Amino acid sequence: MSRQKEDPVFNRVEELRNARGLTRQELADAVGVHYQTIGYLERGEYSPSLLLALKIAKALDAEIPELFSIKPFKKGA
Amino acid sequence: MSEPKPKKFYWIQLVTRKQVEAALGDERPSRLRSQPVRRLLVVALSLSIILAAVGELVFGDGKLGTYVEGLALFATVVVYLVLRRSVRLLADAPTELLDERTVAIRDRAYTTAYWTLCFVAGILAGILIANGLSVEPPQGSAMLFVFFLTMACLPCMVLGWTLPSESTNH
Repeated sequence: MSRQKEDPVFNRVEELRNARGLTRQELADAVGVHYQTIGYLERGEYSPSLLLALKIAKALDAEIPELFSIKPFKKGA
Repeated sequence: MSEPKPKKFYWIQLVTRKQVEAALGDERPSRLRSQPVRRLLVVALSLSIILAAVGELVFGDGKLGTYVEGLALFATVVVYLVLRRSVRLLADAPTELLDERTVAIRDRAYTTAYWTLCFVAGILAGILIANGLSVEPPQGSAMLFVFFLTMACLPCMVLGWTLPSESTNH
């Protein structure tokens, strides 16, 4: 099984992507992955590598802690 | 230095760049990519491989046996091609066309396929040993046939069995 089953990684990728007005395809193209991977990631079904997390943070003009956490994000944070 | 030209055709995997890109980028929902359909294809492929291998043993070496084997072999090829499409050619896609998630899925499937193949090889070895390490030509060729077809199709079959249905909300 994938590691996120045991150690979930929470993320706010969808929220920040929407705030930046990007589609999944546009974000996927910007970070060099398939659009499906962004969907899996946003739904918490896939935990990205550090490199991909850094690329996503750069594409969304955000810091890693703003995007990913091992604890659930507080609503409206 | 100019960058090398991207490959158009991958001879070992028997896929083209266009085919893989189209399969991975297809955003249209498809029933073919639901888990029940994929699993049905895996079962159909397993049965057609077995039938293609043992057709002659079961139905005799006359016309009927030959027809059954030929039909089963044709079904094996057709079902395999459909299954390949249903798993978005993941088992055959070269690494350079995949991303980290799809590479991880493909590599996990190959690991599972390897251990499953060891199990199949163990069963075939067991049959050989039970027969005093001697088999008649029809049985021997049937065993080899099962082994090689299984080897070729197994990564795709593992993907077909294990991949979840695709969410319509990609």
